[in-house]
Amino acid sequence: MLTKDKNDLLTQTGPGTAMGDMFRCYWMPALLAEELPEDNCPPVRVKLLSERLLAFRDSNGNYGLIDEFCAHRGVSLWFGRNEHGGIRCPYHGWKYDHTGQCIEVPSEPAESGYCNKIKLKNYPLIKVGDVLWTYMGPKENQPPHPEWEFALVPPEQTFTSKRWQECNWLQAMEGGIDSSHVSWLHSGSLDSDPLFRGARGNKYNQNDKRPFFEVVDAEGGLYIGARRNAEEGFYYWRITPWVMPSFTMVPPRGDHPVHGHFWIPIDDENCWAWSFDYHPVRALTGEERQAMVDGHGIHVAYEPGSNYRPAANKDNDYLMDRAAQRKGVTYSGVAGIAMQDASLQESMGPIIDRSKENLVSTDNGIIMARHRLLKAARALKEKGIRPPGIDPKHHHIRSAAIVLPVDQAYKEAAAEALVAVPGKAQVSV
Amino acid sequence: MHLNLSESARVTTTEESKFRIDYPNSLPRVSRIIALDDGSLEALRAIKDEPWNGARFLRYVKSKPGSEKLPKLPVDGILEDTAGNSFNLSDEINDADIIVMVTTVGNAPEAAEVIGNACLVRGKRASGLVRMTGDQVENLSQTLLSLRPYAAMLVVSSGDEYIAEMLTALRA
Repeated sequence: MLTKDKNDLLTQTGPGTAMGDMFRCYWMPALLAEELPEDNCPPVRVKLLSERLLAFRDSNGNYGLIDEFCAHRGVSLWFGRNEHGGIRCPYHGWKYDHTGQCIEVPSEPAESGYCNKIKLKNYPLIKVGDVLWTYMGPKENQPPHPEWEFALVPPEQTFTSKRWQECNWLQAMEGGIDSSHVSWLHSGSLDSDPLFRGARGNKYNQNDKRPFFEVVDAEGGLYIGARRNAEEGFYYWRITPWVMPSFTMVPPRGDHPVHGHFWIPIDDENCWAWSFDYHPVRALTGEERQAMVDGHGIHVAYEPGSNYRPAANKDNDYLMDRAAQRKGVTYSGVAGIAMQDASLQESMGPIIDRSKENLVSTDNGIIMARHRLLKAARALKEKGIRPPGIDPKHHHIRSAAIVLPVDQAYKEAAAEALVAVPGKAQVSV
Repeated sequence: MHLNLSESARVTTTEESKFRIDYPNSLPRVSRIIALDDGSLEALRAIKDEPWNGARFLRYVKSKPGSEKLPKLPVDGILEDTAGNSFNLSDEINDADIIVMVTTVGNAPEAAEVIGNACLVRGKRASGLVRMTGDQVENLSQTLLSLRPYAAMLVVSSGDEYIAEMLTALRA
């Protein structure tokens, strides 16, 4: 249960809100690099944290993320012409460079310098890995560039996708740290999904369907450990790290690629679910990459011609298949891990009223994450304290699937496994 | 209402969320929050006067001797509330929906065992909250080891403010 005022604080991320200010402390994934594939390519509308923006790549290869609307008459620059070092409004020819600086107002004499007085709001946009990242906070507080391992390994070792999720970011993100739903909603996927099946650890999952949980504070957020019985005297641990505000990694399975998510608010009723898969020490195989492109694992197939909207979505009732549900092919009747999650999270409504929920002890990962977010948002608002998760050392993190003696505290016993070390394989069973 | 939309699309709008039935969908819980050591008792004392839904804040005092049926397995004990009133552990557990053991790192394996067994014989399962008050890694392993058989969920928290946050979330 969460009171309305706390729920509002956590779910509202527009300009001037406490959680919005907190998100504006971080580098966030804004676009896939494939969305701006070449110089002078078409611009892309972007909405992040309830701000309407336009991303473009100019003729010099500079990435720009600027206010979507021309300062003259408020026309959307999505209709603009991306040409010769800037984007030109088609209405009256005003032109802006990648920093949002107006560089031409054709109706005014160039020597008047009128254009120098016009500047659109802009945010930095940088490419790290397959992702274009932005930082939407004050320039003086801009943190070092992101150092998430999935974005730093060679391109042949990593794959990133995103999908539009039609609900508030928090209810989507909470699914990523709610390990207890996996045994229900995703039952069946361990045997069938090409990106999960065959791992030795799957046997522990299947033999012990009632895991016990341990939630532990971490510097950048939390670790959520799910413990199952392994051989005599040992536990099988699946350890999920959560780094503030919205990064999670799923514990690996065998030698399959490791995966995880970011949940980034578009506005208060929509978010981007970013999904990545990578292998720390080897290239993805052709089969693995194709499976990801086809929407297996944590990825989705897209609605044709859509802007990263899943093919199974609320407009087609998520392609609900009651026969598959009855047969147990899928537990909920919705196919695919990502949409099994998204369909239920969207069914809660755009922003769930958490004052009505009835949490139980196994929801402590969620309770603790909310607590950490509230605490950090208030500390930022009241004392200007920067939240955890900004420091790149908090990005050097991994999930782990590991068998440990029963008398060990997993955070310490698996400490090395939980750190991303270049060239070192993930710890997985 | 937009009849051209799918059912899922129609019912997941903000407008439709207003038609969720507004009623109390659960009964009040009976919550017992049990400190296993003096430090934890102080932490509970600090929050006991907040507006709880009947949660009772207690401390573990000692076990009672085993019964004839289970002579070597104590499944009952003495608890005290923050005012010093005594209660039987078995009575407190019998009625409880939520049982939370709160302990400081390095303390009270016996208390966890007695409470855990008292829960077990009644088909209940406690949660454990471990207060981490410094760099106590070695002792943490020992504390976790003593709690694990008796707790479906363990939380290791480095700040006492989480106790109230967790209990509020659980409607204690």
